[in-house]
Amino acid sequence: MSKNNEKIKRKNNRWKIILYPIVFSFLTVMIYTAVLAFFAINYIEAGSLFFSKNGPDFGREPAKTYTEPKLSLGTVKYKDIEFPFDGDEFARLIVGPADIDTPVFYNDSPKELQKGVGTSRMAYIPGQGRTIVMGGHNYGVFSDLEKVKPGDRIEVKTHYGEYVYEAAESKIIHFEDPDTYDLEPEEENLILYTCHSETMVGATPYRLVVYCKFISGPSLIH
Amino acid sequence: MRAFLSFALSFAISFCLTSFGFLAVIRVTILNPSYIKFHVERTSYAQNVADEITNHFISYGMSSGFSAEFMSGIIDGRQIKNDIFCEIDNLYSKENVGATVEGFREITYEKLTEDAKNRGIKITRETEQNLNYLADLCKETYTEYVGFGWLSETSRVLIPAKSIVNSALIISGALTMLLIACIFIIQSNRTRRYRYLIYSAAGSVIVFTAGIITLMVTGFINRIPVGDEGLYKLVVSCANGVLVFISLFAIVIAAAAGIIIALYHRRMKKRLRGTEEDNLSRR
Repeated sequence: MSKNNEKIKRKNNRWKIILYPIVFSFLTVMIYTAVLAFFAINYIEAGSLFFSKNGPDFGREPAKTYTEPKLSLGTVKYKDIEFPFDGDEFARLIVGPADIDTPVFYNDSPKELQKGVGTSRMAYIPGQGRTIVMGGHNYGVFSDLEKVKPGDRIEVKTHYGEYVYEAAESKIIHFEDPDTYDLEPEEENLILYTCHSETMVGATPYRLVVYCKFISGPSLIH
Repeated sequence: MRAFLSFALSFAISFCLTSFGFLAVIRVTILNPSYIKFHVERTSYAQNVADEITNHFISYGMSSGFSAEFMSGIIDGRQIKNDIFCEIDNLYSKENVGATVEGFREITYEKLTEDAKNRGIKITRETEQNLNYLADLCKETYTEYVGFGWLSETSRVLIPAKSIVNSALIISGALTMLLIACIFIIQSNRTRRYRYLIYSAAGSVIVFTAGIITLMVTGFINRIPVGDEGLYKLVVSCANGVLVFISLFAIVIAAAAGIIIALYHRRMKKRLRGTEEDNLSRR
């Protein structure tokens, strides 16, 4: 009889050795979750907005999507174009009077500006019917930007279309001046900018800005 | 009643042991500047920072009349690493032993002026003003990249967290020992003592193991939203290091549980032998 009792006891103990630790771990996790939720739920919710599905992708090399455009009028669908990513060479800028014929890159970080003209990610690309902002170094591709006068023709060639703009006005303006780059207008326009300095060396907070109005080019539609 | 009390104590030991483990790992990793510095070396973070600063400086040079070669020469990789280490110490200390950015700014200004003079450029008042502006720009960029940007705000949390975690560590460790002593007092039967300790240790190991598996399967660490590649690698490396420490702690607890299980089995065998001998002698 006592042998049977021993067997039953051992069987129960075996179950307890599996069950109790699982129960303990479950209760521990519940307590931690409750405490975390009480103190940090707002931070967790805010933080989770920033977590992407796959994590940041640093492996992508910038691509050259620019090819000679076929269209200069009409419309182009977004699904038919390769929308550029940071660092992609997606267009060419030609400004005859300033002797500019240079590749255009998406994004205007130091990496892109070292290679040519950078397009601000905060603005738009040609065809979107809004403001496009392109920058270049004054000791680089935009060294003769000051030669651009009102009425001069500016071409931007992308793989999906050829765009023509006309210089309207040039200004020397402080880079923090809110009127420098107006992204509000709902009509296509181009802003070219570069650093401005009266001395041979050194930097200033001023920019030479050339404002250009849209003449022709295909519109991007959905 | 004794069984219920033992069950509750066993759970309390499990909870305190788990908390002790997490607190200990946090203390030796995230709250330890040496740990962060180790990962800075491991991921070549200082070199990434130097490359980013160089890119910016070359860009500044292209807008201010200085060559890429000259602007790259302003950067000193070793100084950047030392300044990064100072900034790390700064995150954990109220004494503000931060990077020597004012000194960097002055040296940069002197180098810019010297290069301009060597090229025969006259240093007028306006040129001096513009060179000062350029030096300030370089200093701002240097400070931003060496100083971890927005992450430096975490020092407001890290400094008090260190003392809180130290206290919590002592409390949870003492509580664990106290609760183990209580089990020993309540349960005179050695076999039962071992069983309740096994429940506690196993419960703690399950929490650590489940946590590690969940993080690995969900890839949570790799999805940390840091836009800068160098900083991302550093943060992921530190986070993976924390997982390694948690795993080590879990292994230690599992090993302790294994020893207790071995003692328990020995005890059970002795009891069984004793019972069989009793039965034989009665027959």
